[in-house]
Order: sequence, then C-alpha cells, then structure tokens
Amino acid sequence: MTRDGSKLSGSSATGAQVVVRIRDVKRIYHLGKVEVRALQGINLIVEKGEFLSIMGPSGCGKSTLMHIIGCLDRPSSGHISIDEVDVDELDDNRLADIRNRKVGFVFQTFNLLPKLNAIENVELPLIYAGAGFEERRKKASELLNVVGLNDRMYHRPSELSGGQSQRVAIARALANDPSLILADEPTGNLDSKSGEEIIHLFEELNNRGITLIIVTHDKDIAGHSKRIVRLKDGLVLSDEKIK
Amino acid sequence: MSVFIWEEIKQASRSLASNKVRSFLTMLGVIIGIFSVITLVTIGEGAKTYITDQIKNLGAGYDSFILAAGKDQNTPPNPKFIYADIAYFKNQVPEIRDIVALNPGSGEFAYGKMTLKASMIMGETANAMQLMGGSLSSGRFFTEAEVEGRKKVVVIGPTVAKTFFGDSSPIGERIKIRGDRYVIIGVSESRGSIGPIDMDKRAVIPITTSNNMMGNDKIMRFNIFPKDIKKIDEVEQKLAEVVKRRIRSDDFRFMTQQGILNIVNNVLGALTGFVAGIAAISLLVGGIGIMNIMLVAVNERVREIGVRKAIGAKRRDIVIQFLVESMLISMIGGILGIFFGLLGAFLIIWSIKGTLVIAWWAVIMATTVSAAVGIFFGVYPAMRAAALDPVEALRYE
Repeated sequence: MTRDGSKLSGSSATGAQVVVRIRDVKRIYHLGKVEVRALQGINLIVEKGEFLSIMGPSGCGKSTLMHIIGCLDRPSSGHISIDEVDVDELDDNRLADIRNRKVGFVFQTFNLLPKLNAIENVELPLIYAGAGFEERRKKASELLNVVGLNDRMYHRPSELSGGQSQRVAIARALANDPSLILADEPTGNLDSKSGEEIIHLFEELNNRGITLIIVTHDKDIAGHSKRIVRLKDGLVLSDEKIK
Repeated sequence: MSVFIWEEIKQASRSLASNKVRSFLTMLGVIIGIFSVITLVTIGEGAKTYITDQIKNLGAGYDSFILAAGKDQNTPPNPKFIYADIAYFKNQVPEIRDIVALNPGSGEFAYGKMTLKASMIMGETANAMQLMGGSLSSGRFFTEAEVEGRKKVVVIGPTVAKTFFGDSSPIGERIKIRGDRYVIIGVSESRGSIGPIDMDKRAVIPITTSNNMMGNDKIMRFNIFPKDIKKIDEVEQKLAEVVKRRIRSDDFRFMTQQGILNIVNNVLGALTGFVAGIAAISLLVGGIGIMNIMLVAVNERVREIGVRKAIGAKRRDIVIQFLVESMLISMIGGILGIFFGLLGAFLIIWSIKGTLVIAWWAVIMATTVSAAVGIFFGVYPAMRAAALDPVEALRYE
C-alpha cells in the first residue's frame, strides 16, 4: 500500500486529517491527433474541515482536476488518495463506491432527476449504498431539513426554483455523509440572491466540519472560502489561505 | 438487492408512464405475437375438448368405432352396405358385441300448415338410443319389430316438438316428413348442436323406413361396438377382411375417436406451428423495436446516467436499470397479449358454444418468453448505457 515515506501517516504537517492528497498528478488526453495536457503535475493536500476554492481561467484544468478529485476520471500519472485510499489504483466498481460514500457532487446545473421528487432525489445515493426504505426516508428528510426545504419534499424539480433545486442537490450530496463536497460553479445558474444563500449554506455546512471544494471563476464566491488555489495551464499558480 | 430492484421497477414504470404512447407502440410487436399464440392455443384446447365431446355425441365414444362408406372423407360415398350386413358382420366377427346402423339425410317436416325446412332425418337401428347415449323426455324409441316392419314412426327433437306442438304433448300426433305421414312415438332430450348440425331439430326414424324414403337400401355408416374395446385394432382388421369380401371393394373406412382426435391434433399442431412462426417473427420485430426505443432512451438520458454514476451507480446498477425497463415493456406487452388473446379466444369459443379451456402452460410460457425478449433485446442498450464515461455523460447537452 505504501509507495513512499510521505504517506506513512494520515496527517499533514498541521496534524489534521488529510481528505485529499494529490501528488504530481498529470492528465493528458487526446482530441484526435492533438494531445491535450490538461494537468501537468498538480500537488495538493486538502485537510478535513477546509473550505477551498479552485480558481482559474477556462482551460486551466480546474474541471479536469475536479473530475479526478471526484473519482470520475483517473490521472494519466501521479497519485491521488481520498481519505488515504489510493483511488488511482481502484477498479470501476470500487471507484463508484468512493463516489457514492466519500464524495458529494454539486453541479452548476443541479442535475436533479426530473421524474423524481425532492426527497427521492436525495434518496438516490442511499439507494445505491443499499439503504432500506425507512432508513432512506428518515435520512433524506433530515437532510432536506438541514438545507431548509422541509416544506418542498414532495415537489418535482420542475416545481422548484433554481435556489431550491440547488439545495436539494446539496442535500443529495450530503446523503451518505461524504468526506468532502465537490461543487462545480454551484452558483453559476443562480441569481445573485439565491447564489448568496447557497454560499451561506456552504459556510454553515463548513462550520459543521464538512470539507468543501468549490470550483469557480467568481472572486466573490471564492472570497467566502478559507483557501484559494489558482490554476494556470494545468499547474498550481498560487495557493493561499485567506481566513 | 431486492430493495434496489423494487426501486428500479418503480422508476422504470414512471419513465414508461411518462411516455405512454411510445411505450404502447413499442409493446405492440410483443402484444401481437403473444396475442396470436394465446388465441390459437386456447381455441385449440377448446376445440379439442369440443370435438371430443361431439364425437362422443356422435356415438363413437371410447367403446366403439365407425365403419363408414367411402375410402376417405374427400370422395363422395357410394355406399354398398345394406341392412342385412349387420347380421352378417356380427356372424363373421364374433368379437363384435353390437352394431348400430346410421343413415343421415335431410328434408322438410310439416304439421298442418307449419313447416320446418332442411331438417335432419336420421335413419337408425333400434339399439341406437341405448348404445349411443341420449335419452327421451317423453314417449319411447322404436323397437326392432318396427325397424324390421319398416314402420313409419318417428322420434323428434325438442325444437321440432316445440315448433309444431308448443307445450302440448306431440306423442301420437302425425307429422309429414318429405311428404309421408309418420306417427310421433317419442321426443328426445335437448342435445344442442354438433358443429353445424342442430341435434334438437331432427327426426329419427327406423333405418329401413329411411331406405324406403330415399328409394334405395344402402347404409352410410355403422357404429361397431367390440366386446373388448382393448382389442379394437384386432376387430377392425378382422372386420376389414370380412367387409372387403362382402362388398368386393375397399371403398370404406374406419374411424375411431382417437383417430379423429389425432387428425384434429395434427391440424392444430400444424396451425400452432404456423402461428408460432408468425409469433416468433412478431416477437423478433417487437424485440428489435424495444432495442431501438431503449437506445433512444439511453441517448435521451445520457446526462441522467452521468449523474447516477457521479453519485455512486455502478455499471451493474445502470445495466439493471435499463434491463428492468426493457423487460417491463415487453412483459406488460406480454400480459396485454395474454389478456386480449384469452378474450379473443373466449369470444370465438363462446360464439360456437364451446367451453373455455385456459392452457396455463401457454400463459406461463408467454410470460416467460416476453420477459426473455425484453432482457435479450435490452442487453445491448443497457450495456451501452453502462459503458458511458461519466465525465463525457455529465458534459452531454
């Protein structure tokens, strides 16, 4: 399991538990004959309880990095671990398990399933985790409570506003008590007021100890986080703690 | 896992319900295939029961067989049998217990100014009633003496009695049959119809009298009752030799209930094979339709698949999701086909006054086959869905 000395302990220099550990990750893919070097050697450690923004111009590799952290994609080289599990070595099924239990996704376009109502959407990760009906319902309604949607549980996504939809999506992301929440431009499709509310919800969740990584190009949004990582041309340009 | 399957079924039914017309059209191939098989098999089963009953009614129960004039059913019979053959055959083949002679004919019945056209006139021997089943509601059957004496006596069916005499007793009354007067001595119990022949609208007269009426002395048919029904083949062989010698011709044939049933089974078997072929083509086309629509469904839901994968669905989960949906389409189609097939068969059987016999083996097989069609033709689209790359799928617009 251990490939080098740096990974012997589960803690970083500050002693906190490491949620994401990325070492020299490169991701190269091919568009026809063109070789795209999306990530050219990223190093990053995210500790438990952090609220991190990943910023950068389009094409800087932030989406690719998010997909790799979210276990939707694998690095071409380098290593990544989630909760100290080397996910780059896992097969598709184990990777699906990690996505199910360790990572919660929040998308720019919410990506709720239109035929399911709010509570059923929140239950979905619990179904894939094999939870029974009673357990699922209980957990899902608790989470909808947390995001402030206890009066909209049985509404379909088409009957919800953008802000409400994003809250359902956040509840869904929280369903299996993941180690981190990954949000890709979570306010990109919202008006400023709803966006504000969502950011406050994130802050609240972070205060409860939930690790958050937000990919955004919006400085105001990033300003709410505690640490900003800027990417450029597939490399980390800067990494600063702001709070 | 069972919880998961149940969720999948719930979600699949919703997705089918949200596209009702499309789902129904997709099912149509399966519906037609299963419908045609179920209809035919059910009618076939009904027909077998019906024919067995009717053959029993004709008197060829399992205790007798028929000796009829004519080499086969297709050549018009030129009967060479006569009344005296009964005694001769019995004498030559002592294994025969008894013989009933039958001459079917038709003509007009009249009473006063009332007439019954194109009614059946049966010439029979005196033992026919007792040996071939059937009973009288009033009066008596004719005696051997009356047969020997070529008496003009008649046993009429209940419809004839009702038509001419209403509720009063017809016994002792005289009716005209093909212009001759006959004394009514008995009324038979209702027996319904045998195929196109209304058994209640007929007159039974002594076979000798019917010879007089037709102007010849020929007999069309004998029902042979062997002493030991297990030796039916032996009796048949022996009798064949005797008949050949007697009429100096092989222009006759034997029919047993089993033989007739075998013919029916052969015809039904060929028909079933034919319809099964059509059904197989229909199911194949239906299955391809399902595959096609499932591929469309996969394309429509690329993003959904991406989302499901992102939140933890494994390949297997996606495969099951789409397989459940395709199986549901074809199973609902199968169940509709079974329902309409049974309904169609029931209507047809009801119209010929038969009894509905549900062939459960066919129902179970139809359900299994339709489920199998759904799974078989659903596998490819499901695999395609499961193989989608989550990053690509999430990016899909």
